[in-house]
Amino acid sequence: MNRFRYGAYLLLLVFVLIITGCSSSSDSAGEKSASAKEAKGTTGLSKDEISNEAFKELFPLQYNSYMKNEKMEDTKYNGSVKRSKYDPDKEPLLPVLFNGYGFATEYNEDRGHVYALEDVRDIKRITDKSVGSCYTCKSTAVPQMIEEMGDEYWGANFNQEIWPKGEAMGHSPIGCSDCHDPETMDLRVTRPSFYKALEAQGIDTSNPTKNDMRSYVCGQCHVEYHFAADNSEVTFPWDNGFKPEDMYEYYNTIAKENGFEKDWVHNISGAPMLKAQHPEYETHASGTHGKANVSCADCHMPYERVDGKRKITSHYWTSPLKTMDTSCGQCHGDRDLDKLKDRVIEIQDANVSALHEAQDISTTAHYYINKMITSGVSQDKIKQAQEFVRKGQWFWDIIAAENSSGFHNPQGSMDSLRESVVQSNNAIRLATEELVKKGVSIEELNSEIEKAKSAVKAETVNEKKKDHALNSYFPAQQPVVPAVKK
Amino acid sequence: MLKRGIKKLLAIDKRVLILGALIAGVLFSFGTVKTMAYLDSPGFCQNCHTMKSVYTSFVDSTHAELQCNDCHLPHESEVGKLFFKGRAGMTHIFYNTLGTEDIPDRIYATTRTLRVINKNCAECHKSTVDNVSHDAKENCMSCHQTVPHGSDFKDDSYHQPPKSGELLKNKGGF
Repeated sequence: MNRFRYGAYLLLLVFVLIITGCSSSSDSAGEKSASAKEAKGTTGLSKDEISNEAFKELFPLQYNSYMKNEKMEDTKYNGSVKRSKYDPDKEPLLPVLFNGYGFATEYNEDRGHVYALEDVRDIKRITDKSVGSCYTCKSTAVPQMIEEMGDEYWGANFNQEIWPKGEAMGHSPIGCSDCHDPETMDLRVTRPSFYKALEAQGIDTSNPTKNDMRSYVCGQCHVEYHFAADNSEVTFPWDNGFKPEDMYEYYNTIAKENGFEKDWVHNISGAPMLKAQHPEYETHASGTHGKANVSCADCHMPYERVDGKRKITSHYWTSPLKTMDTSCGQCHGDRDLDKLKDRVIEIQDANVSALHEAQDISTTAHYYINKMITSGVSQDKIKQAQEFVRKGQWFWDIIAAENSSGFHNPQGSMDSLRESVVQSNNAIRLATEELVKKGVSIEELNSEIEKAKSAVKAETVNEKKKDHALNSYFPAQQPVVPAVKK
Repeated sequence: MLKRGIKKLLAIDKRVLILGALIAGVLFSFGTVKTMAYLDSPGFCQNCHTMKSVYTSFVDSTHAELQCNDCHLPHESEVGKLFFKGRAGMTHIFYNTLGTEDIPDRIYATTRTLRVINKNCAECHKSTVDNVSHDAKENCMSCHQTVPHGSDFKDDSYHQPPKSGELLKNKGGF
């Protein structure tokens, strides 16, 4: 009798365990309250919902996953720790290379999406002259602002108008509504520049596939862009294609015809320069994985098991080197993941060391042109050399600004760095020929360049580094009143 | 109480008793066999969340007519099978109740299971293994990694326009 009773209890216990095990956190209150609305295929949220927190109760698993973006963790070359790109192990020559532009004052490694608003608010590159366009990929309020203000949005003053307006609207840093329709949760593109640019290249955007959307939602921001000359609109240089040479061609033809010639005038070489911005989408699209139709989400949003049992798409956007099992292993399941990781690091090693070399040669080229100017070389030759240095810098910057250290397109990135070195060397050769004619000592010039580089590297305050790039031997070449930016 | 029960039972006509026992025996063994078969089936395994995605890929595969345990349990002897099933079942119950936090993102077959699966592949595909040299790698799955659970990553639907509401349907998860 007693034994029978024990058996019954044991059985009961097993059932209780199974029932509790099958109905824990995932089926909690929030989910149930929403089930009625879900039956109709909507979330019950307003179509204009822009607060990330509004989605929290309905989608606690995805929300918690998104909040993991708070984590700051470095990989060998990249990662999500906020630190200066001028650090000795990063790109210490940047204060020279961007001299005369905001990027020589402050330029940091990027953190997770949750910090987008905080970081754009803090960065010293935002001044009283900054425009609305700078806010475009930081806040969930942007799509509505564009809808309300039309093309006035782009050129409106950042500090005076756009930021206070965003705060009043209750903006969130890049989040749910930027990629999802709040009512149906369908993926959507909310930044108009993206489809405009794809269409300019002749790509049909009327009926994108699910696979396309898994890249498009990222591609609306993770791209190279400039602010249009007439209204400061965020514009992607994609008419000729996605490769660095295609985009350079665009800047030297179509952009110029539309009135955009440069981002700034270089303070050392006086060259009209372009600043490249994070072209992850374009680089990936031309790379091995992109060509094989692998989408951004495939590697950057692998599944994760969130409450022990359920699999969801990860909303923690970071280096897949941190999730190789689910990011890489899903396709490369037959490979030893450690060996795959070694391969990734090898690619990045090669790219980063080539990048450092290209930056070094580019730095030298800027100084050689400075010397051309101060030695009275003909304007014609200076212009030629300035075009070389502009081109040389574009071809390394488009790789340096890209956040994969070459991995998104290993060969394409190396090819771009090779072109960069060729162009910078063209500038140096032309300058050398002219300087020798003028009787300038190349030996002295080289030693002055080394001195300036060392002085920049030796300065410990990031903001002051740029000041050491110039001295009495290398005087500033920027017009005293800089050309008003767009 | 037990004694009284036995006495009462013995008082019944022996022929009725034998017939009753026979019917009970048939029903019991029939029930057992059916229950055991159900416990080997995909329908049973997919009751747990962790098995949803492998279930989806499996039912789309060329092996969909089989039972999960045609591959996942040893079949040399009934005793060995039951022992293996019992041991595996206990761990599954543990992980699905008390140990949910310890379930890894990606579940791999244990070495023990890998050995069993390998044997089962070779058992059905005997003629292929006999006719074509198959000594390149140790495991069938080293090469045939997508059999039968490989198609769950990106099926044809990925290359169609997305269906409205599909992300909302399962809350974007399994």
